[in-house]
Amino acid sequence: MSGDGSVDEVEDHRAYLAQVMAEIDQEVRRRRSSGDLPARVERQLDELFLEHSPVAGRGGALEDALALVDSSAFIDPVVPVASNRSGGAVVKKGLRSLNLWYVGFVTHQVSQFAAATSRALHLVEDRLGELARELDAQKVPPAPVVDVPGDGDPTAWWVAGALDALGSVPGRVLHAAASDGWLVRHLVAGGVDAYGVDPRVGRIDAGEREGLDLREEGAVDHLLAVEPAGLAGIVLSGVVDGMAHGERRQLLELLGDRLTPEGVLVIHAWSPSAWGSDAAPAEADLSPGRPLRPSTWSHFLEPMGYRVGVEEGPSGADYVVTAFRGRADRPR
Amino acid sequence: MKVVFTTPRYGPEVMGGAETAARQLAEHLVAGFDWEVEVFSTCALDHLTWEDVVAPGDSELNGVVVHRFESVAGRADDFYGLDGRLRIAPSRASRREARRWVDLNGPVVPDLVRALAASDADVAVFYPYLHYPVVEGIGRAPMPAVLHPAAHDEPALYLPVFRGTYASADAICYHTAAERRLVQRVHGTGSRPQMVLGLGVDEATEGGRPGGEVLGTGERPYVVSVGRVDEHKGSSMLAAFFRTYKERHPGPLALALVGPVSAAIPEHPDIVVSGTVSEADKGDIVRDAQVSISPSALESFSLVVLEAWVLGVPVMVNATCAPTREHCEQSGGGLWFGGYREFEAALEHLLEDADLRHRLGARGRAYVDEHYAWPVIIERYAGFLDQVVARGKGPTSVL
Amino acid sequence: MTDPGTDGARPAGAVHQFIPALIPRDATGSHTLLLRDVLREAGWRSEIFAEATHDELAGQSHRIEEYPSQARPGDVLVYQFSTSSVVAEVLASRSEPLILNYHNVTAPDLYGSWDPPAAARSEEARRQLAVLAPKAALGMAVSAFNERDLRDAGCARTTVAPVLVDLERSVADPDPRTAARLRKDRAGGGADWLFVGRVVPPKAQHRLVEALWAYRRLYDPAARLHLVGTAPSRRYLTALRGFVADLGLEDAVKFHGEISDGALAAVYAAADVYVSLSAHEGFGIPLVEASRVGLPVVALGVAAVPETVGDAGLLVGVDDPAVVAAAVDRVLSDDRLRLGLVDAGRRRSGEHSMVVAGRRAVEAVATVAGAPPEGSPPAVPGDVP
Repeated sequence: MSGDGSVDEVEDHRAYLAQVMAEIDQEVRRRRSSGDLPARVERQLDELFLEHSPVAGRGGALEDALALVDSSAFIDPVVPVASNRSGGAVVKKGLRSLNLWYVGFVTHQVSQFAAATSRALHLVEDRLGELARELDAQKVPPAPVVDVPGDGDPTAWWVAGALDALGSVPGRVLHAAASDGWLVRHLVAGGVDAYGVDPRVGRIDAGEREGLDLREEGAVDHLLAVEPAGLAGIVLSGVVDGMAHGERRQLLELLGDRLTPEGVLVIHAWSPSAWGSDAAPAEADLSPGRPLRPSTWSHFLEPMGYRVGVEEGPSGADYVVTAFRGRADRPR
Repeated sequence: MKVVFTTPRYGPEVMGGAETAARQLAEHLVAGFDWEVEVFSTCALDHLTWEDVVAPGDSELNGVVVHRFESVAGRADDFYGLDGRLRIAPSRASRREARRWVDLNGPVVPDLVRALAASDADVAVFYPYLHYPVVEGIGRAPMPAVLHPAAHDEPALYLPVFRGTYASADAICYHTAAERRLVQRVHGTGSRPQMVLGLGVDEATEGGRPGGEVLGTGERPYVVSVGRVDEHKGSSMLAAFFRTYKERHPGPLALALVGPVSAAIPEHPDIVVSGTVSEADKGDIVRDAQVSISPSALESFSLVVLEAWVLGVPVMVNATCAPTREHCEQSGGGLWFGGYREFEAALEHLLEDADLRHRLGARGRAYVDEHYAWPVIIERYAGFLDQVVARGKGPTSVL
Repeated sequence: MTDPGTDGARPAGAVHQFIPALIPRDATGSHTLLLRDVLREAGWRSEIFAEATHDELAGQSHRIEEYPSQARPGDVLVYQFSTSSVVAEVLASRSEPLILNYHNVTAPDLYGSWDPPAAARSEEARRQLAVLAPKAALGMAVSAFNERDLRDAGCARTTVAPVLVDLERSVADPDPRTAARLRKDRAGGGADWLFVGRVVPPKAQHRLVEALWAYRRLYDPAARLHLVGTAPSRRYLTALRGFVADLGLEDAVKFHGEISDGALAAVYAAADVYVSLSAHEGFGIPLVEASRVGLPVVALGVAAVPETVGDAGLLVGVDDPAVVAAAVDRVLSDDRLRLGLVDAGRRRSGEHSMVVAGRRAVEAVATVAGAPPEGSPPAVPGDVP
């Protein structure tokens, strides 16, 4: 088959290549379905290698510098030619035999650091990480938590619908801000595994004493400590109303990540007109942001894969957004 | 209701906060609710070697059935090398290295894990998070699992192996809200059913003698610090602060350090190192102290602070220690210091004002009665366990 | 591809090269040494300035600090860009016309958390590229894949000039001892897979191990994998060895490390197929070397690999172990396929001859430096007049 590379030959070869690739595909599928090499086994191979892999760090330049510090066996493998240190030649030979040559040239040299220094640097990095997160979301102050009209009353117009939407989710449901647990209690009684958070000092005390799972924490802080897809449902009331752009963006990212793929989101909020009226709480004047119009929530949530329903309250002072993704049909 | 506890050591001779707390919970559940309570533990009493010293097999202690299993391995010699290396950047370790850390730390008791997997209890309680029996057992328990982490902000907490441990817990029971914040930040357990239980405090044992007599200080007023006399526990710092205080405030005030001694404290005419004393003697000493001081930054709960309040004694704590600071803030029963100046100011205030001392002490006592008296604790805990059983077992972690 | 025309540049007397580190048995280093010879043959004075040089190559270069005092009007500078370096900072501050000879920088995320320092250096390199690219008079990319990066970084004039490689090293006299050892292993049967490249996460040797495992299970239980290349990431190497042990492949996977040209030639000669699942190649010299010695290639078709391999290999779309195993089996059992690949490979490696590649390089350089002063005597190495 050895040839002179004539055009015909080259074309033949290319066509044959394409045919071969298709046959390989078929071969692989056949092997898999006959059980010679089930996909499960290939996944196990991946898992096996992951056992040896470093668990991901949080990333960042300082963390990389720390890694340099941490790898105390790190030696600059490239030694300049003109070594005027008397031991230079010996050192060079030793390094060569370690096979540590980098194609990517390293311009920083790190010598051994004491563990205490490293630990101190890690603490600095943690603090910087916190600061970075704060700065990122809060170039303006965080929105205060407020009571939305009707909050505290399980017979409020929107609660039955929320219980309906959340009734059959498999998993835990978070209510923020939970206040004294009025909604958590109602949801639990309705068969929903609910718990709540509220950052306002002392608010949760009574409910917590009663045995409800309530924590004194802000919504965003709490969501940061939840694992991805860790929640089947989230109810937000009084949390988003005064949010500025940055904080809301951070919250939306967390909502998308912390809810399961079939998760349900319910948002109960002040209507913009009521927020601007005399009926609004003092926080309305102090908040960095203001309530969104109900339809704007669709604008944020639909690209995240949600189907969004919005209902305005009978008094015009509030509205509720119900969003869910995943299943085609939902009880309503 | 049948509860099985898994803990690396068990028994009244065991000196360890977590294991003691587990035993107290177990015994109070039997006494208060007539529940069936069993414990799976090892034959070890020493947490540095895990050497099997108690006979294996079944026994009963205060109504609790105790099953002891022999270990295949205790703490291995290679542990220290690996620990030294991993503690520098624990979150970067591979799962394999981290599991090896658990194995080398010990005690390795496969028999215990097997027995647990075959148990018919309604709920399994694991206390604390760190050791092989809990790490291996929690994923294999066929019934709902409750984890009491007893966690500090220590390098080990960040090892990736524990992610699976925390993920396998159907519910988590914390000593303090500070501990919950720490654990959920590191392991993403925010949405897990939980409670902040704390530890139960008993009425103080007293011997009926004046504290000054027990210490040999006569009529002199004194402040006390209870706990291991150890650099890590802040004893050296406290001694140094006290020496400075005495230079600036000459007078009869003495400092008593009560507890097992691990670090040498320089001799000083006004510092008394009593070493380990009986519970009765300790009660007498604390009761008659002006103030009880907790200089440690590494407490996960601090029974010492609560025990002082039981006796109506005000406290001063290290401001950087979140749990003890939380106690003071919540109760109004103590002050905190972040350095010498604050230490001096707080101590001056307390020593000058007997009324203030009494008020703080009384507030502390009320706080303990409301939250940490045994009847309150065990009632809440039993209710929590009922909820856990009702909720059922969640999906087991595959990590 | 942009074909730069000459812009009437004044003929330069010297075209000097700058490189972060001059290291032997390294793609960029070898290219630099060969390019210097080509530039000198064309009549330019040409020296190499490096921040550091391996002592095997002592005398082949000058320290970067020496350049400012040696600089002459009309100098054209060529920067061999493959990683971050203080050399880039030096060049950024100079005003001589700059040619960026770009070998590509691995994306930081391919290092993941394996090697944060390497990822950090990658990031740094990208930043340096963003500074140098817009300022460069010409971007010389060793592949169209690289050329895209140069354009994206803001280089206005770019061209593709193949990397200079002495393919003869792969067919040099094979080291007899290595050859004998390999022969003994092969006597027991089983195909020999070969991959040449640094043992680092982007080169994905762990995927090769998975594919070998699948291949042994499905087709040839005696097959072996030869890995040639230094291992700068001790963490990855340790994990790789652990993985190999977990799979029971300690006897089947051979870590050759860094070896001499003679030993490398022996390894190439003893292989049956060249397999690459590397996630990133700016060019992939060993792919061409494999073709030069008549090895069929099976490779993951990403980055510059398809461009370099062309129809000299089977390009798979995924680094799925079953797919790779089936592809290798097909190559080794289908004569028509194998011979077609080998033929195509020979043709392609011919295009990488020093003559062709050297001429292309001179053309490209001339668009900035002006016509080469043919006839001028070549400079004596080490002499900077």
